[in-house]
Formats: sequence, structure tokens, C-alpha cells
Amino acid sequence: MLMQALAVGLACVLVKFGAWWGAMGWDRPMIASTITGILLGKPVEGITVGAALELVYMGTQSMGGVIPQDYGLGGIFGCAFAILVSAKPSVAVALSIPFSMLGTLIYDLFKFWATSLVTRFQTHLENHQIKAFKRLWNIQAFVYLLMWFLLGFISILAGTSAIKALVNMIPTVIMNSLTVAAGMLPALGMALLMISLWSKKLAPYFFIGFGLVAFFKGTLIEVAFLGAAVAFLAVIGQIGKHTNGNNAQPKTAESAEESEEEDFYND
Amino acid sequence: MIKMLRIDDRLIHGQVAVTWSKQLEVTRIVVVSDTISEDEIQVSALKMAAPEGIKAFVLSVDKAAKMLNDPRADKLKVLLVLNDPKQVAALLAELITKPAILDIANYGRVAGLDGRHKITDTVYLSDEEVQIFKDLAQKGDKFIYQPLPGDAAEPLDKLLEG
Repeated sequence: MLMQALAVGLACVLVKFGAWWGAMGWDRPMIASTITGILLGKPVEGITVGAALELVYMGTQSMGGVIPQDYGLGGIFGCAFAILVSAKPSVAVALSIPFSMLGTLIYDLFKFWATSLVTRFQTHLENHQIKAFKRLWNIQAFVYLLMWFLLGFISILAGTSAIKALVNMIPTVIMNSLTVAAGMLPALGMALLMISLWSKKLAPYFFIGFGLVAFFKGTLIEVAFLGAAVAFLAVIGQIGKHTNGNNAQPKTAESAEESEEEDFYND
Repeated sequence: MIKMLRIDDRLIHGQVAVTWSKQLEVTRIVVVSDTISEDEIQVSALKMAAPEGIKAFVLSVDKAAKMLNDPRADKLKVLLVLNDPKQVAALLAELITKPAILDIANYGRVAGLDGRHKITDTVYLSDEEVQIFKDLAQKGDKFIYQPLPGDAAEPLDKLLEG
């Protein structure tokens, strides 16, 4: 179990490094779970569980300081337990949720500490101590990554047998209901996504995807293949529009001033 | 019509640009501020923050009032965003048709907490500002506190008493 715990700890570090370095998208469950699967030596399971988890967390996004669930950790632990406990993806989905909650709690605690460092960063800048500033920044990054490593390492080392016992203890009836509930979560994820994304302009894409599955019995692979082609077409169209738009008559300062009012009333 | 007037230190950001504009189906976001409308850099940054399909404007109080009182504005769905209670009071005094919802969401944390009282997790008001809102409430301009559409709307006058 030590090796597996190290692997999951490393997966946490990789995924969180992606979020630290820039918004790399490594914390999307699809990617996080795949990374975990590869490190645990089971890439296929990683991708399968990742796809199931991505659907659940699809609509979860951070909005102006409101911290939602930590879907990256949900992806890692959902995948890790699915592989280590050999649980079904539906169980993995259920197990991932408490970890995604725990993740936001831990991140909040880290933020307390990080915020308290702001004045020290400020002092370093005021005294032109760039080296000290960089050192403090690196310490902060190190603590951030170490904290996620420990969470992954300890949870797997200490928690796997407990989780295994728990999963085995659950009676079949409850397990079946859990499977049904986990099956509904993707619909919830999709609904959450649509609350923030739904528009007349995007609706056709939704119905194309729905139609591919409903009428042509397409699998995710087939939908993804055609989806990629459609996305390509849409992006090409967008790029074309932007380059044309830039060449359109440049507005002079005076006409911009006058037209602001007209622009307000006209669509 | 003006769907909502929102008080928000951060003006146009995710909660405003994505969540509320979607919920209220607005087509215009207007930041009203005498100071920011003078600042070219802030104006262009704010315009960039507006989502696709929504036009963003940064106007002074007088210009905003003039444009919003124009009958042509009645068919528009507008979201107003301000970050200063004094200018809110000035704008409300000039508007013929009042906004459907008056929402104070994030205020007082950017300017500094000195001398401000905590009203909610995201609203901190000075005595002077509390008075502004009490005066507005007496004139019938009652604010609610509702950061996101999913949050319960709480009347501000109740929060000020408690």
C-alpha cells in the first residue's frame, strides 16, 4: 500500500501544481483521474472513472471567490478508490464527493496562512529584497504542494482498508440505490452547467449531442469524435470573424464619443 | 427597464457577468461611477469583462440617468453596477423608473474596514453609509442582500437593525 499511497500523493502534487502554475485544467476530473490511473498503473480505469466523474462535476466552477467543491481531489480519490478497492465507477463517484468537500476546507486553511504572509511580501518589496521575496514565494508553493501530497499519502495509507471494509459492509439494496443515485449525478452536473451556459446560440450543440446518443445510439467515443469536428468548425468560424472584425473601419475618437449613446439603444 | 441595481466593490466580475446577467437575461451592463468613467484604463478593462452578447458601459451618474430616463431604454434589460453608496443615492434620486431589484452584495472590503461595521459576511458599512441606506429606505428604495441568485434575499433594513 506504501507505493500506491506515494503514487496518489504524487498525483495530488501534479494536479495541484497545474492549478498553481496557471489554470492548466489538470484539476478537471477527466485529467486528474487519468493522471492518477497512470501513476497507479491502470490508465484504462483512470480514464473510465475520469469520464464518469467529469460528468458529475461538469457544472462545478469557481465564481468570483465562491469556492465550490474541489473537483480535482474528487477526481483523484474517486479514481484511487475505484482502483484500490476495485469498486464500480458509481461507488467511486459517491466516494469522491466527501473528498471534494474536504479539499475546499483544506484550501481555506491554507488561504488563512497565505493571506497572513501578504504583509511580509509587501515588506520585502518595499525594501527591494527580491531574493527574500522569491524565497518566501517558493516556501509558499512548497507548503501548498506538500500539504496536498500529505493528504493523498495519508488518506490512501490509512484510509483504504477502512473504505474497503465500508464498501463491503454496504448491503446490496443500498449499493443498488447508490448506483442509481450516482447515475443521476451526471444529469445534475449537466443541469448545473446549463444554468450558467444555456443560450439560444449554444442550444444546437446540446441537441446534436443528445440526438447522436438518442437516435443513433452513439457511444461517448462517437459523440466525442463528431463533437471535436464540430468544435473545430465553430472555432474556425470564430477566428475568421475576429480577423475580419479587426479590419473593419477604425472608429475615430469623436465618433466613438457620439456613438456611445446610439450604441446603448441599438442592438 | 432596469432589472437590478447591484452594489459591488469588484464591479463586473464572475458573479455579475456570468451568474446574474444570465439569471436576469440582461443585454446591457452599466457601471455608474463619476470617478471610474474618467479613467480610460478602467473603462476599457471593465468593457472587456462583459460577456459575449452583452454590451457594457461605464457612465457618470448624470449621463447614466439621462440615458436610462430616455424612453428608448424601456425596451432594454439593464443591470446597473455601482461601488459607492453616495453615488447610488444620487443616481436613484435622478431615475424616473426605479430598478426592479436593489441589491447590495459586496461592499466595504476593498476601501478598507476602518470605521466600518460588519453587516454581513460581504458587506461592511460606515455610520454615514448606514444613514444613506436608512434614508433611501424611507423614500421607498429598499435594498436586499443577495450575492448570488441561489442565495436567499434578505432585506437590508432588517440586517441593519439586527
